[in-house]
Amino acid sequence: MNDSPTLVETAAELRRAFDGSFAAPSEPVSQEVEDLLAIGVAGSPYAIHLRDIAAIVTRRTIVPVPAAAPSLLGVAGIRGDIVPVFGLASLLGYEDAADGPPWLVLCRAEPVALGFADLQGYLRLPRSALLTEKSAAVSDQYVNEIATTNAGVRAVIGISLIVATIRDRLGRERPSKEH
Amino acid sequence: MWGSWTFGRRIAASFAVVLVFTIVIGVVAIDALRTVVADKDRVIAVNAENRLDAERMNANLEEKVAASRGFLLTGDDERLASMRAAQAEFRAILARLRSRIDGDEVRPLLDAIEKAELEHQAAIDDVVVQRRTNAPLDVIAERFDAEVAPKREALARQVDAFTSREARLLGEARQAASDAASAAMTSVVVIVAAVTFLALGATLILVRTLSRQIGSAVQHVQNSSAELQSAATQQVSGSKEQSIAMAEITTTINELLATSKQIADSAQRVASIADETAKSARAGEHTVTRTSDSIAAIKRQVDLIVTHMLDLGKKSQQIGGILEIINELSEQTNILAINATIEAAGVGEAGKRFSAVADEIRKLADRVGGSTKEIRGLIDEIRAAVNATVMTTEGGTKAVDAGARQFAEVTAALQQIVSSVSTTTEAAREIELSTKQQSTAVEQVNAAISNVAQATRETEASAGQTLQTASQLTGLSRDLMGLIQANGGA
Repeated sequence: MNDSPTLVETAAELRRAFDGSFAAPSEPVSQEVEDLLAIGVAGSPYAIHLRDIAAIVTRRTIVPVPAAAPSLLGVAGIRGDIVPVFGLASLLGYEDAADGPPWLVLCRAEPVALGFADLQGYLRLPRSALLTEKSAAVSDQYVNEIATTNAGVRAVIGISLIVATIRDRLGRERPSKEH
Repeated sequence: MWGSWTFGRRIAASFAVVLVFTIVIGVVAIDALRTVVADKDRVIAVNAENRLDAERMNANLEEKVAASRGFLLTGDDERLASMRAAQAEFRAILARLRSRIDGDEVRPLLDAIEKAELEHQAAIDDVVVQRRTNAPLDVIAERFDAEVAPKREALARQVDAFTSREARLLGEARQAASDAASAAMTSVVVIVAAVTFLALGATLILVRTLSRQIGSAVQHVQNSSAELQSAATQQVSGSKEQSIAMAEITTTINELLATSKQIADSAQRVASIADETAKSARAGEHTVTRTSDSIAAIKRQVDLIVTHMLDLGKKSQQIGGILEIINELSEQTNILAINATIEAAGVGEAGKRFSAVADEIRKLADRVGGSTKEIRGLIDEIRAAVNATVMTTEGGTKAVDAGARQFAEVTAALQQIVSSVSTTTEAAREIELSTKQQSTAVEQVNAAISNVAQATRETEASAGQTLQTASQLTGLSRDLMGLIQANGGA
């Protein structure tokens, strides 16, 4: 019974904060911060830049297609387009989940979707919290930064690297098909 | 028949046989003595008298001859009278002999003596006549020698012949008497020897028979006495052991008596305690009955609590479902805000305000998500508490049911206890009564045991006396066996 005032106070605080955000004048967005999406891949914490993705969707039907690409899970319909869906776990060297990833992010650079298992939240970190990774291992070839948060460190996946790799694969396979 | 006779009868029979033989011996001896006496009497009365008369005749003859010679020499008449007297005596002896002796053999001898005497007397008479005539003595002597002397010698020869015969007869009679006496003596000796032999045989048979039978009997007596001695020894030992056992039994019975009294006291205390226990059990039964009613009410309340708790669980599940919807909405809102942020970033400077709104919406969605997580945690705690309460309540219900059953069992047990205590009281009273009776019986047994112990001691003394008597009897039988074996050996 003692918790009820606390919950009520929490709701009032939420309400005040929400109303206050609209009442306050707009502040220029600082160029010294980076927006990241905290995700979990095969139980490990990762992060991706928000600027690298075009959308995030969930619970989409992934239709398997016959293809030689090892990480290709299938195709899915996102915002009226049929895009290929690659498993982020298998790209990072883990085993894909059997029933398919519940979360998909649509890459901004290419109409390619990456599937992962867990969406852990939204991160807005100062740029100084990001360290460029120069000595990445073979399994971490798509990680180029390390984000330091209060809860620990996260490997920041370079979506551009993944897209480039997929593009390279497709570029190697396409001439062979045309040939 | 002999085997069935008693020893006295056998000994009497043996003495009777010996007595018969003794009588026979006496009779034979008397008869022999009588025969000898008769023979001696006959020898003395006949043969000796005849011999004596023959000698007398010889003497009278000599006297008559001497008297006749004297008369012839002297002419004295007295001598003549002596001669006549001797002649008369001679004839009297001869007549006596004739009257005594009767037989064809002796009569010619007597006749010859009488004839020779007559001839001798005639010759003497002739000479006497001549002497009276005063004839010379020479003539007379010559004539006497010529006539009288031959006659005298003839007479003397006849008398000598008779005397010799009588002497021979006397000797023969004496010999016959001696032979008869010897024969009687021989007969007596033979009979005595036979009787002695028979007596010895009978004695030997009697002794052997009696020795064998008495020896067998004595052997049996010895064996029986040895067995009796052994039995008496065992009886002494057994009596001692029995006496010791009786002492132990007496001690044990005294302890048993004390124990019985203690049991009686304990039974009395048990009966008293059982009464108190019965009262307590009845009170407990009433209390348990009241408690059972209370437990039934508690059970109803607990069932009601369980029902409410189950409703609360259902409500919390419904709240959880609604919270899932809220969480889903906040998640969708969050995604929507992220996408709005992405879209706002894509439109450049114009989307910054929209990005700020989307950012606020995303923050709100994050907070809603955090609140829903907290609420989910609270609901999970409520559900866990409800489940725990339900489980606990169900456990309490089960405990109450178990308690109710146990109280029912306790009630039944208390009733059983009341019944058992009643039975125990009765049993304790019976035990008390039985123990008192047992004490009385044990006292009687103790008295009986004392009597038995006294009898045992007397039996022990008697057994000792029996042992001593058996030992003496063994010694006596051994001595008697020694005597019998010595007699048997002899």
